[in-house]
Amino acid sequence: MVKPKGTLENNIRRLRFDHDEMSQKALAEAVGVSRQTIVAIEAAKYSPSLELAFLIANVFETPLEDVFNYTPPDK
Amino acid sequence: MSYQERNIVVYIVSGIIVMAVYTMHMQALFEAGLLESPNAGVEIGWSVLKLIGGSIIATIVVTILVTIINAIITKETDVDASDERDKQIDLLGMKVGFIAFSVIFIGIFIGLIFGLTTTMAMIAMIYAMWFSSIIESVVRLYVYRQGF
Repeated sequence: MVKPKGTLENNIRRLRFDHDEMSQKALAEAVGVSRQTIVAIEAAKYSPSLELAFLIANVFETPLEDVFNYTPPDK
Repeated sequence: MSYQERNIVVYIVSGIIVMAVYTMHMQALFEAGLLESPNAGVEIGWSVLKLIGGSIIATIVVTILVTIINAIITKETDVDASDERDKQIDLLGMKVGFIAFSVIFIGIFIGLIFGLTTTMAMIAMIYAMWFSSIIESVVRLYVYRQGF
């Protein structure tokens, strides 16, 4: 059985802007991934692991749901 | 081009160079009739050992050259370690590479039914391993370029 996929959106770009225009490289270094991974997450091409998602939220000192929001497939 | 993409390109380029040299070596053995002699197994065994050694040396040399050229052109230094996304891409590449190898592997056995000699099957197996690793690298490179 194939599970229907929802959409995972994020506010990383806005949060970076709000945090002194933090660069993708700086965020990548803060959470220990490559800049390309941050680019892919921002573009919603890659869904991060739960741990990485929490790490990103931690950098912005904001709850996880302010960084990522998931829309179920039937909405 | 990212650090990981550059590594894949280095792997593909060194793989092609090594297999080109290996093909010339096997061609020479074939023309000398050594692959049809009773000692064919010994020759193939040695050729594989040489192939492994050559691959290691070629990869080191090409990596050093590419790193130097990249540092001169882009003035970037490599600081990247692989992260969770890289591991997922590696896994996908390995999966596709394994499927490619399995298909060729079955093809070789079908070839044995239709008269392919055991010596040629062994050589084909070596090429199958190389080809599937190239497929794996190309898939990884494609996924990186797509942005995954």
